[in-house]
Amino acid sequence: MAQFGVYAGDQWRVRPRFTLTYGIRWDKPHLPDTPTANPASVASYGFRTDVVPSPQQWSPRAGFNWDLTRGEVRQQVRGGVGLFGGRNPFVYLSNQYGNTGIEFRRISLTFNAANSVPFTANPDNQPKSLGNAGTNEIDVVDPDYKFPSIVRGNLAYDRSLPFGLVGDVELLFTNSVEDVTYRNLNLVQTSTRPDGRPFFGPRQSNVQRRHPAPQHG
Amino acid sequence: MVVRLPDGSRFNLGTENSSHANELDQDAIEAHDDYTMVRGSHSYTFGTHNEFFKFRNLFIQNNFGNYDFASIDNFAAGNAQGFDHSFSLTGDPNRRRASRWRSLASTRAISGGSAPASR
Repeated sequence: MAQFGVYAGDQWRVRPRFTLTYGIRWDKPHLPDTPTANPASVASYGFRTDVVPSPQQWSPRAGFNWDLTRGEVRQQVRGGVGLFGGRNPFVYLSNQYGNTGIEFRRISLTFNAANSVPFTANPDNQPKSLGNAGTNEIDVVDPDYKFPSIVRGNLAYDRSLPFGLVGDVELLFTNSVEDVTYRNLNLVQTSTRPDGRPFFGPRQSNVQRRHPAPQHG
Repeated sequence: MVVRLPDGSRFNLGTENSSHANELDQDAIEAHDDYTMVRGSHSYTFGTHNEFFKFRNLFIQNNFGNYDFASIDNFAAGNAQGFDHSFSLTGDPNRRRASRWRSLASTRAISGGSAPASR
């Protein structure tokens, strides 16, 4: 995969003591590989496993620096605001590549004293079926997914102090613009409680959901 | 595997269950260039920063099977009361150890919660 970034900026000395800095950045991932299509995911959840979002990001930013030095006292006011994304957490997308429900199967027999599974020593020849206990896991990403981003701004005053120290008062604010949420697609809202809480229950599906495995032996 | 004792304690034996099939190969190439131009009171910067990745990650928990025995006697008899096994369905014996995708950041193939959101 590839991640492209292009940006342009200008540091503009508007006055001898006042500098304005502004610019914009564009980022876009490119994902040439496609996960395996699993029609059961579309039928049950409405999400295609072979569609992975690669959203672009625009990040405008601006800031200023105002030099208020008078005589021996060096001081300045500075501030800025902008959209920031940081490095993209591709791990959020990668789970979709590894978990289409096609490449792997899992069998799981939860511990129960009544179970009896004969031990197989050969690691390459482990049981692949315990009655009807096989399940798959499917991870999908919303086609409208956006990478996490924040808006952040600051306003600060710096002043030189005796003994070479610098005093600083700074106001910072940060607010999420895009963030990540997880959903268990096997659960859907079935009702709303009197106090307004949503109440979730299993989705009715023609695909076998993860459930306690049947007893064996 | 796990062997349980009457007092509630447990012995974990063998390989840690996430390490049965767990591989990560990655290549990363970075191309970065900035051009700065001074015109009067302006200092313009134009730049590009690009990264090219290739990832191959395998992760199959419990790929060699993971047994849970209720007692030492059951362990000795090879009679397990719990069992977990995840395996590839691709049929290609070489792919038993290599999931098909190779284009993205690390993944976990099966079982458990989501992969850590490390950056």
